[in-house]
Amino acid sequence: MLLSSLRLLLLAPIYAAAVSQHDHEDAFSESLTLHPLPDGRTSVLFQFETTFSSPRLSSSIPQSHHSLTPPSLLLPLETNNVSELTISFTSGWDSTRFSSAGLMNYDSSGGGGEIRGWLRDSHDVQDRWNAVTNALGGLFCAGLGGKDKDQGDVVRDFGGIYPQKRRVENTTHFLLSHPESHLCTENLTPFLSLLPSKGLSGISSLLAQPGIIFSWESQSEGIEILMPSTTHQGRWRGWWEGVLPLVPENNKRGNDKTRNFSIEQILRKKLPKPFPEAQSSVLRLIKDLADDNLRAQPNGEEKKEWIDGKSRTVVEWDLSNAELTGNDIQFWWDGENVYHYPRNIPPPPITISRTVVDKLASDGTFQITISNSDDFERRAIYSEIWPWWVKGWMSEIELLVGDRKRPDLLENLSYNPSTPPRISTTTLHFTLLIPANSKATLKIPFSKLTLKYTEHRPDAERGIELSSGILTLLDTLPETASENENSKDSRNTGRKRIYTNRLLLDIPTPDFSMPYNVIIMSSTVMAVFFGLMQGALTRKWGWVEVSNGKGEIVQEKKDQ
Amino acid sequence: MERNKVWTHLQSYRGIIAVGTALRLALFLGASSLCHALERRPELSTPLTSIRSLKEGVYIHERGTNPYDGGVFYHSPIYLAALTYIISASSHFFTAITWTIADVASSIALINVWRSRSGVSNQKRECLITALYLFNPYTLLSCLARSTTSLDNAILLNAIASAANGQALPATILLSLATHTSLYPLLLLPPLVMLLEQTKKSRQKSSVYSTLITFITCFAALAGLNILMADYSWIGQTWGVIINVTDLTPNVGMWWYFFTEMFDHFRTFFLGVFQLHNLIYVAPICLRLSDDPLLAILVLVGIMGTWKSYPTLGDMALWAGLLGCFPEIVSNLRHPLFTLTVHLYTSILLPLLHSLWLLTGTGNANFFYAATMVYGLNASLAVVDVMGAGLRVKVKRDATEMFLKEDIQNDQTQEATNLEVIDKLWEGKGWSVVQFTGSLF
Repeated sequence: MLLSSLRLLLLAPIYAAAVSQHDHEDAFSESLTLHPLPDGRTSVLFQFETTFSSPRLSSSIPQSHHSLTPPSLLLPLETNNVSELTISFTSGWDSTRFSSAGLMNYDSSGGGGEIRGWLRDSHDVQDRWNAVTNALGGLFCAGLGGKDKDQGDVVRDFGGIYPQKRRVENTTHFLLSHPESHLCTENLTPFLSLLPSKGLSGISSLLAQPGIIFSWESQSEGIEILMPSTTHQGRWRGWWEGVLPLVPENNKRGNDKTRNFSIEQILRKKLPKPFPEAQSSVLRLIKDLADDNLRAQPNGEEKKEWIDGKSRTVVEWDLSNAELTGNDIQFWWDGENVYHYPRNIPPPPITISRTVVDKLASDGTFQITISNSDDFERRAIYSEIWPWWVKGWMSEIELLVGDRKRPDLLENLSYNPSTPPRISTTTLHFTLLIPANSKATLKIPFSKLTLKYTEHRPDAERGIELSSGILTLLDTLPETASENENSKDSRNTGRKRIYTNRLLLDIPTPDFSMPYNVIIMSSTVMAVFFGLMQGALTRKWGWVEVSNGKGEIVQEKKDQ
Repeated sequence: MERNKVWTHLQSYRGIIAVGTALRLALFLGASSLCHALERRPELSTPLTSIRSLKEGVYIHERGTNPYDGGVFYHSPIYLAALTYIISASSHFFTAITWTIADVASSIALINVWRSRSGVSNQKRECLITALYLFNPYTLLSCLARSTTSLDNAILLNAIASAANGQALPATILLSLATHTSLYPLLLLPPLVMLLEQTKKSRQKSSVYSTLITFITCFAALAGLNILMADYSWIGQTWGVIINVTDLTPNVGMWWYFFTEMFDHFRTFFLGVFQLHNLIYVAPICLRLSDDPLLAILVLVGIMGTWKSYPTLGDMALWAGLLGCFPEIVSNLRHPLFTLTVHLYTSILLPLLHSLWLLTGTGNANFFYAATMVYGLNASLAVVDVMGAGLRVKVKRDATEMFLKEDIQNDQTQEATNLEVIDKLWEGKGWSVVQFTGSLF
């Protein structure tokens, strides 16, 4: 008795420590979301989220302890004093066919790769950013670092577009866009290795199938890390999203022309064993109003949720439920024998597209069309990032609604020009109003500067990609049901940013086989000129008398 | 009666200028789409002289930011200020008038150069000089493209005309202005000083120094004004670009493709070679043509127009205009027809091959490079030809003078300068000028 109470007394601090640590224990949750799209396809979104705290912050002894978090990801961020970081790779999204302005995950960037984040200020903040991009570039098997050692391609004025998720004072925003990067199988393995379940159990085992995942049409992968502070826990989130067709093109199932599908059918696996450390493991199905007749077997728990400006029905299955393990879930549309591709797909309330018109090899005009199908005016910022060799003509920018010029709609233009010939970026932010039920067209004429022979990338004839333009909506409201009884209000959405497509610009190339020829030929012309001038200037000039045209020199005299 | 009056007016240079002005204004106001298309031609304006860049710079300046801090603005702050505060860059009408006035001022300067050079007022020759300048397609198109080359030319020609008339102050002020706007006119300072010395007829002994001091003062004053307006950033973005050739936009010169294709580690060396190549001719030409500084200016203007880092056809127009003041040289050219036809040929070749490469995107850079090579070689040979013709005329004059001195009974001494007389005499004697293989020294 005495002994046990003594033991209790002795061990009390340890227990207490264990209990207090339990408050901040790392937690992991995962989800798989299916969202059938209006054109016979479905979106699939894998999400993995870990909340964690740093032992460094709570104890005086320097220590690094990881249970669910990947040290290879967090250590570089901790060392370099990163506050927030997002890496995203995206390829392809067709907002006109999918009736949604972008991917289900709002933090996915536009086309290509992108790394952005907030770093705590200090004199070497630029070097630390460089270190982070290089460290994580290795992790994702993709060059995420700048193309230039002077960091000329890093953009620093996008902090307003990508605000901090968690307020931290004295931080700087960095953005490095890699529009040429794309997703490949090399990106999947490192992504899975960052997860605590490593693609072996739980939802991640459904993702660990490159043969299936990479046959999907549109893909987006990314991670987002909020580093822990003394007051807040850290959070890191990874996502993988894709779009796949439900109506098989090469129909091996006989005459099945319906959209009916099951988990096994699309992911080639039955529902997996839950990952034991996962706090929650959920399968979600988002049903649009149009998909009222979408049924599932076994039934899940239904509830209403406000997602991306619309009230939608969400069906949830708890995958930690042992009954579901090893089974399948079937989905079908009641009364659908043959799927008919819809003639009209309602566009999302705001669509944006960017093309190049007046196309010449050396010049062009960006034409950005923003259409607003809502009955109210929207206020937004349209941002562009251009490489240094794209020179825009600011004095010739036009904003049109229909055929009429409307300079009054352009509230502000922030223009940060590049500094050629150094590698640098031009950034543009147009604060503009998009009138109700109309199509605004922004025209930006530009010229392509001539690049040096060494500045062209390998395979220069292919052209160079330009980052997606970003339309940031300034008047969005939180994602809750609006007061009016409508099931639709496009302002109530978490999607603040809508991206345009990437743009492939071909640039006039020199002849790469010519350097020696050009040097030799130009130098020859110069030498000919110099020689003739030198001759004329230094030779003696005089006159001769040629009598009766026989060429006989009668007399020779010299001048000077 | 009326018709006769018009005809006599037309025969005076004023009539030609009136026609030239009317033609320009008519084209500016009547065919503004043509002018708009010409503005974009790389043959007529480089990024350093194009009105489009200038408008862009003025726009950025008016928004309260410094256009030299970034982006592509290479114009002198003088032009920036002039087109911001004096005339609006976006006003088609006022800029049209400015550029027309510039061309008219250039042609009047040419007449002044001719008058001071020949000492006579020959109505027919003046008409010819004016017409050759104002109706030269290179001049006309540069003016319609509103390339600042036209303004540079007007400033430089007036500087030369003032010097030829012995007006030291305006000459130095205008030359420092021209140096500010396009830098290369600095090379004309030595022959200009020599010309001033020759025309002043030793009024003051220390005039070389006073001219130089005036030039430096004006130059520094302008630089000071520019610094007040645009900090120090303009130096690197105007003269820096002219010297370092960082913008490689195609033009008619020999530089852009050379430095596009140049390996980075040789770049500095070849920049030095190309820039020194311009500089190297100044001293020898001034020494060799010391008795005729105006001829030295002519040859140097030709060299600059061909070998400067961002030449345009407007530079060639300046040279051609100046050549009109030297009829004795034109008549002694060895291959004027060749030069002229190759100019015609390149004026077809340049736009054609440019559009193949940069508009339709079907050709590659070699196409346009080939055209600029032809143009550059032709211009180079023409300069050498003019230089040779200048020396031939000199030999002819000297020899005729010698001959006439020996032959004292002959009363033609006063007419020794008359070219027709010289030519007649030489033909009669069967004399011709030759360049010997032996060196002068």
